[in-house]
Amino acid sequence: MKKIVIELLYPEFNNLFGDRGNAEYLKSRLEKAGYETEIIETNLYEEPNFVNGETDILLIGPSTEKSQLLEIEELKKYTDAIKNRIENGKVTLATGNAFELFGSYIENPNGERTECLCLFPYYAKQFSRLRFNDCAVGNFDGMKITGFKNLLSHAYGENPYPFLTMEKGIGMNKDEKIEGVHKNCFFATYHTGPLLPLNPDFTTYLIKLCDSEFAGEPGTYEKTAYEMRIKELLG
Amino acid sequence: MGKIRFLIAVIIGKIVYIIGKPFGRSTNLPGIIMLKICPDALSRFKMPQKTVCVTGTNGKTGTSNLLTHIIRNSGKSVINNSKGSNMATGLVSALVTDSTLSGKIKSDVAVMEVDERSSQFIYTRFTPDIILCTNLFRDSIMRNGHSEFIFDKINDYLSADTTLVLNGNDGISGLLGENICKRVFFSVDKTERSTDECKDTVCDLLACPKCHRKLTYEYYHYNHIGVPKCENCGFQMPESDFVATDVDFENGTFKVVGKNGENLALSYQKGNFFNVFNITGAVAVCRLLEIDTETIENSVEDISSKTGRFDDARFGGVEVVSMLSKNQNPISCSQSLKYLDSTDGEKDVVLLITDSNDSVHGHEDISWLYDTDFSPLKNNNIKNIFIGGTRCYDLAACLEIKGFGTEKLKLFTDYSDLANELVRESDKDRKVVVYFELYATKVVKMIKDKMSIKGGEGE
Repeated sequence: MKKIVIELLYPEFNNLFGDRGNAEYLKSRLEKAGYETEIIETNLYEEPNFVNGETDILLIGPSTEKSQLLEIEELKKYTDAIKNRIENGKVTLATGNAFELFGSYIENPNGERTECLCLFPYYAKQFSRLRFNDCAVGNFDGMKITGFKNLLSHAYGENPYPFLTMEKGIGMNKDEKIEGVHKNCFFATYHTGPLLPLNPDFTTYLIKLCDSEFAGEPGTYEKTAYEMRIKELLG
Repeated sequence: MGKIRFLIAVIIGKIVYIIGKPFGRSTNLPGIIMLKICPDALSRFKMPQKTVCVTGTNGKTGTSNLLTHIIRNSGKSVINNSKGSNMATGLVSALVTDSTLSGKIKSDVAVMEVDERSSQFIYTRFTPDIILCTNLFRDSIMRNGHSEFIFDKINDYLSADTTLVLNGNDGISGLLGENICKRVFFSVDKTERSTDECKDTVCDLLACPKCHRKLTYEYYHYNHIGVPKCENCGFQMPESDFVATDVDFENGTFKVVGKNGENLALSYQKGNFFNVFNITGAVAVCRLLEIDTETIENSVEDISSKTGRFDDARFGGVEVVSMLSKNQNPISCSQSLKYLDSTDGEKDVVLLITDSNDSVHGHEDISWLYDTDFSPLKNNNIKNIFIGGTRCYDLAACLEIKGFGTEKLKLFTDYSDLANELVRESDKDRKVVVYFELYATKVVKMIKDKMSIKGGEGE
């Protein structure tokens, strides 16, 4: 039986908006298709499994604005390992404000900047009090990706490897149509929450990046929910 | 100039209240208009001797009502905003009904329920003597973001002159007001139902708030409510001033022991463990207001025996239990579902928990479903699970992903189709348990009406 290892980075912080749904859905899809799955939870200040071990899919969810700073500090120790992971085509999905970790810096409402991992040139600016909500649809390689956003920041600057071109909703900021990062098998997006159950075909695509022989099909419920949502949002 | 504007606002507020009352527009509209005329109206009322604000994610309304009841029984007059909104407009609307033309509040005490996100617009306008925060949990994603966001929204506007009454079992809200104001803690002792691990789907406090290492818990009451302890830095909650002990789940009774020698014998609505926390918090506030323990005991007894958390009635011979389940609030929904674990007998469950008014509110963010503990739906005595609304497939997908069998699920995007099928399938030996969000009240009524008609035809 084939085994897929899913690593959740800092789940004690990065589970704000039903983000556990992503790992649950991957597990469910994989096990239905006859795979064995292992879920590794890495807490802050522990060495992540992907640094020296085998992680097939790395999931990084959104965090509060304060814990985001702790995570950046900690992840800087592993910048090279993350860079290698991206270059070696290992599957990684960062959602919500985890997208910002890989950019150049985050500026808070007082103008103070925190340097991020600097793997990509974009930067984020936080706004002061009101959160930004969105329900959006973007295009990735002909596939429509839908999801929700709940943010206290937007991203600006150069983004040479965008993940999505938005068809509904804003991109990395209100003036941009592009959103997220896609390089090799690394995906980052401002969408939060259970992105994978909301996008069953993208989930299939992601699993196939780990094992091209994966032949599992999504269930009827998530497929219908997805089709209804796309239809409602795009009209 | 400001004073004149305020006096005009009070007069107009009173007129709007009188005109709006027959049309059900008297609990918020006066405040909306008054704040337009005089934006700082809230700071210009001459507040009563004591003002108490009640805030927090869950339990605000019940606790405010209980406090009002106890304080009135102690012989004092109380003004509250129980009929209106818990934002600045609702507070102003309530206050204007009880004020003289010069803006002096006539009642002895004001008990105000305050929406957490409105703290900035309320606590900067007047300084409450006491703020009771029931708890802080993840709540509606779109409105509240995350609990740290809400924590800051309250904490940033606290005054040194306020006494905070805090839940000592909550490692999130229990940190409010640290180094800012006087804090009084209440908590609930370990019960026979306390657990060593968080059995609920979500625990909002997994890392130590001080050193950020993984936190351990001596025990949990539910979700992150329990006794957190950090093995790394030694963080723990302050000692409580009021402690609920001897919780008797069978009889719905418990005691509250206070630091100043208080010892109260109290009752709560059976099956509603949340209530023990709310009552204990209310006891702490009442003791700060120097209300005698006997009055508190008797007043709590009245409320506990009169009100229930759900509506239970027979329609056409079928018992229908309907329970309000706050939309977008995974903790409240999870706790309501636990009722299914406490009742025997066959039942059908109806889930109307996703936004039934999303055509007006906009496309619902369904992420919260993945944070909800649906495990009580696994009970064998549940025969059918009816799911209604435009997001029924999302909920069904969530259940399937979480490992639920799909054979019991019946999905309806149209509520009247659901009601018709439910009534057709209903059986006098089988209870119907309906979970509904606020806007689905009309669907519940439709179900009950159809049940009654069927019952009539059958007899």
